[in-house]
Amino acid sequence: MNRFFGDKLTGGGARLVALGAAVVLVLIGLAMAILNEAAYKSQKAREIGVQAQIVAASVAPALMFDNPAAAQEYLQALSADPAVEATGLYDATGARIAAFNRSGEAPAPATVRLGPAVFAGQSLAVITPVVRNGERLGVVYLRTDTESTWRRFSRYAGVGVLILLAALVMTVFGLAQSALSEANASLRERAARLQQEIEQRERAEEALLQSRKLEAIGQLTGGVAHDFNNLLTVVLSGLRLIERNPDPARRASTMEAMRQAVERGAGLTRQLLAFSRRQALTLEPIDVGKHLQGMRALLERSLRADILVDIITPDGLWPVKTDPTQFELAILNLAVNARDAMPKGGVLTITAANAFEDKDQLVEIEVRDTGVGMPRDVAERVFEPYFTTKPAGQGTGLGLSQVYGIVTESGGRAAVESKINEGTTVRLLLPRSKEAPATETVAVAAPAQRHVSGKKVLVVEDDDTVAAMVSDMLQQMGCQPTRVANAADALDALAQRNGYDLVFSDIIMPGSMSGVDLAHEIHRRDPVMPIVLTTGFSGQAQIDPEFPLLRKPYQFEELQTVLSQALRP
Amino acid sequence: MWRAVAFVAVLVALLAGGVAGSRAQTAEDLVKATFLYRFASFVSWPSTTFADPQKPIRLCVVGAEPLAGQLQRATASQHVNGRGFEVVQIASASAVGGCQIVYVVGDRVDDVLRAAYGRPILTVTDGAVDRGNNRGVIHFVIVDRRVRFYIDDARAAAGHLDIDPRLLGLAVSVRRRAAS
Repeated sequence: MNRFFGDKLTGGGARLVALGAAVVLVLIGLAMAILNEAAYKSQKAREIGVQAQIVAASVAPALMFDNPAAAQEYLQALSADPAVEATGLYDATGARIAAFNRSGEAPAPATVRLGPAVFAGQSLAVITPVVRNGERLGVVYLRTDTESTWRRFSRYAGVGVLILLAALVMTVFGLAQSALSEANASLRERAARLQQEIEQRERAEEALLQSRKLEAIGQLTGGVAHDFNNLLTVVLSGLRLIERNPDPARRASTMEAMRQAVERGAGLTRQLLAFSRRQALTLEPIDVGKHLQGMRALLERSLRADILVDIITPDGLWPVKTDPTQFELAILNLAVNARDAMPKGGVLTITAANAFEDKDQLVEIEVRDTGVGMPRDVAERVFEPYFTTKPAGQGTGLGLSQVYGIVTESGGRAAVESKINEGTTVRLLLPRSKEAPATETVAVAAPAQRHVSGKKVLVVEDDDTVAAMVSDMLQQMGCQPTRVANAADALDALAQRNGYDLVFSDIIMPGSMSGVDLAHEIHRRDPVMPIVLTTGFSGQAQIDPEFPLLRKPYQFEELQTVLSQALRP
Repeated sequence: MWRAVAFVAVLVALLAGGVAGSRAQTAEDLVKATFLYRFASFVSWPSTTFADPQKPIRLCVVGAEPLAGQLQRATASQHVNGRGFEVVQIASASAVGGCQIVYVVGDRVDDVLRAAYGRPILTVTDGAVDRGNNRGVIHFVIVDRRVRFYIDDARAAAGHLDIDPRLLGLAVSVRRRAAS
């Protein structure tokens, strides 16, 4: 907008300058014309004066020897000059003895008196004495037309040319200005259109991304539904077994089976959430082998029955730092691609191995299929976003770009090798992490129980079932839980009794305050109060990194670990 | 100056006509006198004629005493190319040697013309006075009551005189000199 006005101002300035230049040119032209006129008149007066002197010299003999006829002939001869209007010869007494005038012009006056040249309109009259040997013989009168049409034209041509130039300058400036503003306008229009296109494209990309997630979920649905049915079956039958079987040992083993089934279900929902990309990218040290082996069931269920899945992970793999869900999604993407490359079945081999590259220590994950392969030019482009060889509606072209994205985010790189009819190998190279995978710390969290024991915990949870369960778990840890249903009640509780050691709050709650808002409000009142948040959703906007977050569903040990870390002074 | 005015007045009177014979004669003589000295500015003499740049032009009159007087007065203040005029009345043809212009009328015309022939002397005869056939380089006549003249350029050439074409152009007629 400023630019727009700036252009306008500049344009106005240029126009003003052009106008000024034009006016100056015209003024110069007028001044030149006036000077020209004066110079021309004096020059003309001199010229006609000289001409009159020549006439005087010519007619002198006729005057000396009293020959009016000869004088008349001389004057008549002047008619050859078209500028001469009238002329007259006067003797020493002042009598006119000869005269000539062009038809239509006034004749020479009957008597004349010596004086300066006289301009009358375009006519210039000059009176010159006729002198011979110092003897004044008479006078000559000569009147000429000073300005022929051509002369007048040429005299004013200069002014005309200047005015023409001024007009031309104005016209050119005007045209240039309008062309410029037109160009500006079209440029703005194009910029706006481009902006619009960019926005449309961004929206389309977003939609594509979402559809890709849906596609991935779709890919998983079969397997997941099957898994869920299985685990629900396990839980249902387990419950019946517990109800009917009084044997504590059988009940324990049944409960263990149920726990495993529920864990598996929790893992599946986690993966579903990850695929729908509602979880923020968090890089953490992971054991690649463990994650790959954990995907075995998922992959076997996601791929077709005619595809043999072989996952080879040696012990002693170095940890790598990456986002576990994104990593698994990358593997799934590669697996889905491999499946599509093997329409007649084949073998999908996923191997992981430690590797060296110069001094760098890397973990190499190789995903190899025995499919149709692809030509070199396609292989070179597979990591480009939206590049796809799949028919419209079957692929988004984002799968391998997701692979490339997470590998790059993790500080690694990806490479593709492919041979037609022999298959494709994708290698992911991730740098070794100095940190050990977090699961090991969870494993040693047991001693934390002592730390948690005896603490007064305010549980903020709107769901009665969940609240009851959390309270139960806290009591088992040795804590003294107090449950409230919303943020307002929590603040009241804290105000009434000041003895709480920790607040454990759900994020999504009825009422105007969320768990995050509540946490901030508590910290405003008591900056050192430990707070742990928990949520079943993982929208980024709801998360505040200031507070430890425990994602639902969580296990007993996880809750214990998070609480003990939050309580640690 | 007043003389010139008088001359002009007379001339005007003459042109107007209707004046007495003697006065007409006087006016005519005045015109002729004026013409005589004015001829000097249209004639070039050989360079040997004037040894002294200050030497006046000698105007000789033979047989016309009244005109000599007129001439004397008319030329008193006149000059041509820085030279004044000297009016001399001479009696015999043998005396024309020192003259640059000779006005001759009467019975000595033939003698004077003979004596002056081949010499750088502008001889002027007068058809208005003499009826003879012999004519000088310039020969006055009266045409339409105006004083006019013939010019014999061949005779002028014989005397090594050059006459300005402008003067030739004013003559009633000119006898051309042989092409040189």
